[in-house]
Amino acid sequence: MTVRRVLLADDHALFREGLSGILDTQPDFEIVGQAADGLEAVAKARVLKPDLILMDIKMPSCDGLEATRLIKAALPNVKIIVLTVHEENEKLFEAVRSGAEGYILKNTLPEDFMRLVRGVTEGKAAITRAMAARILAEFSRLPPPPDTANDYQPLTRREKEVLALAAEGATDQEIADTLTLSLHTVKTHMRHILAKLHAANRREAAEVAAQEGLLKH
Amino acid sequence: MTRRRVLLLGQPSIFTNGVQKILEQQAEGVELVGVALLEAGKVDIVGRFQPDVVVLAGGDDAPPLIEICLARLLKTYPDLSVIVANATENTLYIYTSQRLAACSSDLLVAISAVPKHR
Repeated sequence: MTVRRVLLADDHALFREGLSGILDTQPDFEIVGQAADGLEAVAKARVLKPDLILMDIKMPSCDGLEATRLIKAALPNVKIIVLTVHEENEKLFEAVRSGAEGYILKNTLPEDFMRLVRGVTEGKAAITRAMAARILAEFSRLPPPPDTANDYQPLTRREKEVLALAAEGATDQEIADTLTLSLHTVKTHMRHILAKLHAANRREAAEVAAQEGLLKH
Repeated sequence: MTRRRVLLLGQPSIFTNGVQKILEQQAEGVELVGVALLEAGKVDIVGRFQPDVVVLAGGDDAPPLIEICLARLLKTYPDLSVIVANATENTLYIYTSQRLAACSSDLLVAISAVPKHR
């Protein structure tokens, strides 16, 4: 039997200790740590590397959604279930966007809770059917993703001037001198250009701009 | 140690279940004499278990039900101590009643024993 190592993060001490009492009676779960706020959860997750984290949302210093984002960025394989009293769609969707594998309300029945938690350890999402329906409704409401072939943001007049010179092989300093700008400003324009054109460097940016006709006034 | 007889009344939830586990597993001075569903009109269950204290546990939607139960409990069993815990707040609310002969010194002592808030 695989024993899942669990970290509990909740500032509500009575709830956290009660949850620990519930999981302690389950042979396939082991509580390896507890945290009373989001920052402590992030720190303990890094040290303890649990399999699963049960995460409250409303906590001091760093809320559970932010802590989920931070932990997922550092430890993408850790499963995180948000455990909360909040039923609002906004929190549910934010939890999903943060990378959480589940969203369970604190008024859930114990047997449903254990079924959902075990499901996450088997690769399933820990959400009720009602919540799944809310997520699907939100997903269908969203506009389709933009066509990635030409979703470049338009360049400003100044950015076009900077890129045109860069395309001719001018250095940042030469561009600054030509356009009577500071070197810092040119670098800032170049950074924005690369971001808008999803380009790795100025040569690639110049190629994209030429292909898409972005330098035309 | 004298063990307090405790009756847990709660809404079915992981919070109530967790409180039950704490009372069962960690409590040296506690004898959990019963666990029952929190229902507005069912406070007479207390008479059957004769607890020293009743713990009311509920989720975030529980406060109206808890308030009704609390009022009925304190009215029906004036000497009973009641502790209210809910899943939303990390706070316990403790209600006890103590009956004293109505004399001025007891009144003043009772006032001075109340926690000062400001």
